[in-house]
Amino acid sequence: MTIVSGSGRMQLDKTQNEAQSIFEILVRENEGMLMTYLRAAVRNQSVVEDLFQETMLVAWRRLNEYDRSRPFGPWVRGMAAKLIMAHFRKAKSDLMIAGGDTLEYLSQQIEHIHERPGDTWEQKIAALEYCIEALPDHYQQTIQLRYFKHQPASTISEIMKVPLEAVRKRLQRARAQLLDCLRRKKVVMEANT
Amino acid sequence: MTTEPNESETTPVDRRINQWLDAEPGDSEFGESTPKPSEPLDAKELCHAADVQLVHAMLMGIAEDKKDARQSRVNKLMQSIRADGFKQAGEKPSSPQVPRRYVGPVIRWSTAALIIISVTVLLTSLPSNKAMATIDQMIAAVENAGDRTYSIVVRDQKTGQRERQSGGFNVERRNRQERAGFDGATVYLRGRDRYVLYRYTPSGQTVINGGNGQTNWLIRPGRPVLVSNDPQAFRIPMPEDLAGLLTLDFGETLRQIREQYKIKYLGTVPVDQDQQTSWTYLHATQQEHEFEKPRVIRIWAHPDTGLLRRIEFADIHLQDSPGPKKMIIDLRDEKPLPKDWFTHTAHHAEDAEVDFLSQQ
Repeated sequence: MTIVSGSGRMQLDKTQNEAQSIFEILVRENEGMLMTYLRAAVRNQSVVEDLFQETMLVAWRRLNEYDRSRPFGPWVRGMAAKLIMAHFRKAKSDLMIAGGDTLEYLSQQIEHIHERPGDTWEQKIAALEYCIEALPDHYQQTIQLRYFKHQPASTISEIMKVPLEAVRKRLQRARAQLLDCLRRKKVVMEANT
Repeated sequence: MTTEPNESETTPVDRRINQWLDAEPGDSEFGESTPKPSEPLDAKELCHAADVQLVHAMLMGIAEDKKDARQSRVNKLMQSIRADGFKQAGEKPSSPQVPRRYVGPVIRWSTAALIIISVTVLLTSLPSNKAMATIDQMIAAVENAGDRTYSIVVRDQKTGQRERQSGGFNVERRNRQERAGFDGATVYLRGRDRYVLYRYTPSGQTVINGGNGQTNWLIRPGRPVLVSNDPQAFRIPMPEDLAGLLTLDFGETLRQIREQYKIKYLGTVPVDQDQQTSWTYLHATQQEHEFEKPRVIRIWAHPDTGLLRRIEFADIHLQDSPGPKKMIIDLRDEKPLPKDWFTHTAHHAEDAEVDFLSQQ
């Protein structure tokens, strides 16, 4: 059995053990992509982790239904989207700001990134690190504290000695500048609206 | 305290995004981020919100690359899948490990504490760069390795077809001699400088290269055995993409990969039929895109000894064979070989003609 992944085809042998081994490699190759999709859609990080596990487990169980002539990424994101929507029905506070309709749009953006040159997801989004370095210092510091030091906005406010609203404003502007930078570098597509 | 100017430029959709992305549990707006039906977002706003959320997700992803969470995430999944597999096979009655979404705070905090302690212990006990440490261990293991037998397989990267079966297996005739290919070859190794390589021509004839650290030799069908003490004699014609990278001294090969590739440690995985051992898995990608070299190299090694179990070179190109190929070198045996196995006399008839090309 042959599976098409983002980086090529892989042989899945008949035995389940061998299939597990190959599937594990497939999981590793798509982990970054799927986590990005889930994180973009769901706010609660413990739910993101659960949805990752559940999506990949469903993918494993339905591997026989997988159309091997098509890429693995959109297939697994399709399953993730159904699980995300099921979660939203139970926990509305986690619902993404743009609503469930935007999942398909997000999936297209992710696929666009997935098709970029690079062997790993990190390589495909490597431009983001450049974009962070290009931010003004105070935005860069805010992003560092928020994402790399995992500090909430209130703590950042204390550390940087700026009001909480200003921290949120900086985060908003920093993300907007990063988005512009990623669009210029063709990592993120311009929306056709 | 300073303030951020132009607060007025925050649009309603930006405010919602800020709340969704940055509000903390306990904030009054934390649970109010769902758009109200009376305030529908237009298509442009929806796309903008999704794009910002995508940036947020990418930031979280690259921040996590500095931690070990990805490894434990995949390990947890594979444990669930193995448990699921056992259940399907009727070998284990317990339910599959579908993750529970909602657990009590006590369990969650206990788990978090355990994870923090485990990660701290790991970080203080493991080398700072696991991938580099593993490669170094593998290089050291080659120096002290006993006898090993590896098989070589070359497949078309798109179709998976074996190179020998494709008919593109170096069928060019040069000086009316068929060229032996790498698909189906077997290499025998002792230490780092003793080798015997069996390759086969399209018509099934055997070409044998060997060396015992002092002399190199070459055995071809219907021709005299050639022996030389020139260390460069009878060099094996590696595919162009692997020149300067792959040699039968795997220690040197690993050294080259260490220098030329960005290597990631991706945990431990089983390899094909060998489900008893979880092998360390390394993923190497070119630091600078030199297209004449394989873009991706996958390496499996024994987690304790560093013994090379398998190495895969992806996206290589062979002479006279279209399309990218994957070369897989796989450990088949560690049984001791005959003592004289690395001398030419062990591989040809006693009365074979032998030409000594150089003497010191």
